[in-house]
Amino acid sequence: MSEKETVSRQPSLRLLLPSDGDLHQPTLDFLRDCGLPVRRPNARRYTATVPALPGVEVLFQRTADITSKVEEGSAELGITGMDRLLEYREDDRRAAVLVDNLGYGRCDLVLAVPDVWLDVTSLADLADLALEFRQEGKQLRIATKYPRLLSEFLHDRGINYFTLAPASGTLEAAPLAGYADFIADLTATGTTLRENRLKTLEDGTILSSQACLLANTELLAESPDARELARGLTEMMEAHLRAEPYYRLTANVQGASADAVSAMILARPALAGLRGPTVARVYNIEEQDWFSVSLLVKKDRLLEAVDHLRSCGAEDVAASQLSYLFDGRSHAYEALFGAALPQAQENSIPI
Amino acid sequence: MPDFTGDALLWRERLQRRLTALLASYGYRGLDTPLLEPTELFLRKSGGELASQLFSFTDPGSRAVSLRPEFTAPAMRHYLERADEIELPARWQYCGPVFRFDGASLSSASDGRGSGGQFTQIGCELLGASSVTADVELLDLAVSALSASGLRGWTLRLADLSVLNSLLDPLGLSERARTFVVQSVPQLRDGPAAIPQIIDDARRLHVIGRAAADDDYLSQAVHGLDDDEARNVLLGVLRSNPLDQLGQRKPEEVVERLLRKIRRPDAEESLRLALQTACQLAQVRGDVTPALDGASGVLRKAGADTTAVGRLRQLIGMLPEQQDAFGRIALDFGLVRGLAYYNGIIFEVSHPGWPGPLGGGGRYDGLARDLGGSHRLPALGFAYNLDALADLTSEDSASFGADSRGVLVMADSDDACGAALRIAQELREQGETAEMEVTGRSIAEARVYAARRGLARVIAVAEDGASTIYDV
Repeated sequence: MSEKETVSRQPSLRLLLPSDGDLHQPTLDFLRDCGLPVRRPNARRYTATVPALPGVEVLFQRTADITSKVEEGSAELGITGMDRLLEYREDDRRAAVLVDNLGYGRCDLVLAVPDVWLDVTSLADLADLALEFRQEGKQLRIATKYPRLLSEFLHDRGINYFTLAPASGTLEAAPLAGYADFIADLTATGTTLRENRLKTLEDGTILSSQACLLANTELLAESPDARELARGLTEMMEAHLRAEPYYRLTANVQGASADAVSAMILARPALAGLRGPTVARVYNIEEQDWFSVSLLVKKDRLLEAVDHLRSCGAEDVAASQLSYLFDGRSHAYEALFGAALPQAQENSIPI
Repeated sequence: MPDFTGDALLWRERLQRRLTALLASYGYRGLDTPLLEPTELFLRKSGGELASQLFSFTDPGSRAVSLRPEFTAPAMRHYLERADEIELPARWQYCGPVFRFDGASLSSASDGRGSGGQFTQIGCELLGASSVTADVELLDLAVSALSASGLRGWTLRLADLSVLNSLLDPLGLSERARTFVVQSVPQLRDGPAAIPQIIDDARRLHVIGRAAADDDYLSQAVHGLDDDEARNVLLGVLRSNPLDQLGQRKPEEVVERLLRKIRRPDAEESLRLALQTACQLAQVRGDVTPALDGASGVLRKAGADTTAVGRLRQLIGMLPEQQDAFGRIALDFGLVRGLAYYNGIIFEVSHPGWPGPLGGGGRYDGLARDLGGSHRLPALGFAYNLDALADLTSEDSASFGADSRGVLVMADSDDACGAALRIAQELREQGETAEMEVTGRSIAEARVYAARRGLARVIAVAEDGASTIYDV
């Protein structure tokens, strides 16, 4: 397919990205790191392209609206926070989760009560207090922007006597302003809560959220082109996320034979790569017994692995960042659409 | 609710009229309430179970509303709004659709017996009476309603929660732990083997928790002090903070609760003891007299007050001789209805031909206050699933279609239509059911059709108004 044809064809996959808030820039950074940089011709335009995947049209939307936009079919894919997805989702086929752990935008939805509630440190206390209020004809009032997640969480734990206070603006001020007794809100570090003299409960985390990729599976089922692009996008993200925890190590090791070298390295299997080291002859004019060793190692065990290679007689140990690690198949895609290897060349993705 | 049509619908309507007349003969007047009420009304009333069964949504005015899952809370709301005008005791009856999500899909609702979330409830409320006589009236009425519907083979299982409460009184549980024990009774029916699992649940639901590190320093601070001294120390600690965020709580309340928490004996041990005691009571069930003796025995052994058993014995003694040989009243102290608000008698009616309970009721003196009333109001009531009663008694209705037989009126030619319509109208005015033939059948076909429909006659009308009658 010629470049000209590629550019002129209609977008066959629409991807919604957050236009505002905490997820906007990290999402663009994440896609860049996945090898899928977003090209936005003009910062005021709300559409953009992904040059690495022709046919993908990016639309910027408010983070809070992305779930419902995907559900109503304005786009096949969207990236938003798990918190917003679970709060707003009405139909889990029209807004299915393709990848639930994009690894950024992490925050917790927590219950936070005033510091001066010395007697309340756990959900058990809160449940007890709710009953006590009820006996006195009062109701616990909770301010939150997540009424659905909060109600489900409390009902599941047998806490039914509470009312939701209307929430707007900065929730942390609600107890001080007097319209709520405590709050359920997002926190990344807990600093804002502490500054407002609120404390979390030991078991009061409603949800640990991060960015996720969601898909309208009904739309994707209708269009093989969109499905193929979605698979490409998902594969790149998964491979990037899989590669993230690893370094590639290469080193030259002297030994009697390839077998002998690999036996030394395999003495510590945890440091010997995903499935063992690759060992190959190094062709050297003076010495015949050098071998090149290549393996993947977890980032947090880098020094340990280097020491191990040294103990095997390694020189010239190089560590490099891994870009992608493709598994035998795309787990996320197959979970929704079943095994689907690339079709004929016509539809294949230029990656 | 399954689709109701034809004879089944006529039968349900007739059953409803019969039960309505029965309730009216006891002095219960009609009450109808809206299908939609604020969600809070039902949450305030119900225990955890009903909360997850509510069909709730946000109306266009941004208020959280729910389809009514039952009538008791709306009836109590009605009373609280007009308490000045309503003379007690108040007797109300109601009938209408209620909605409870049961996990069944809507598509399965119209054929099977799964309610699909909706069923028709008929029942009554008696407000403002705490006497045994009121309990007797309610039970008598519940049994009479079963007789009136012609149902055979039912079982009414009866218990009195004040017996369980007398048993738990001496144990000094927190309010929440006590509620939890009451709600665990159905599991305790099966014997003490269930207790470890229930205690695990209590941990998961945070009825009992680990001692939190946060109060450790406070509990050390008041170690060795008597309660008054400890109260002063804790109040001092609290007052060293700005108190502008206490919300609806007073400093003294926070301290009181904190002190209770610090001084409370090992929560897990008291819960275990309460569960073991309740378990013994939950095993007591069966015929009335031996079961009453069994319950007395459990209470005496635990050193608890036996007044409640005495009251139950008196109540059962006052019930009219069981008018109905077609059902059975049994005691079952392992019975706790899903709703968490009963405090006196509770009962549930079941039938081997129906998967869930047909209905039930009991006493709930605390409901008025839960819904925002200023004090407790003695109250009791019961409700039946009318769809279930109609379904179970539908065989009895086989002969009942006879009196609804009608005639089929047809024109013998296109030009006779006007005359045929006039004749049909005259028949209707005389009180007959007259169905028009509208599909162009021949007389022979019409007679076959009329026979199939159970119609009595076919009347063929000529253009001049002359009619020929064919008996079916």
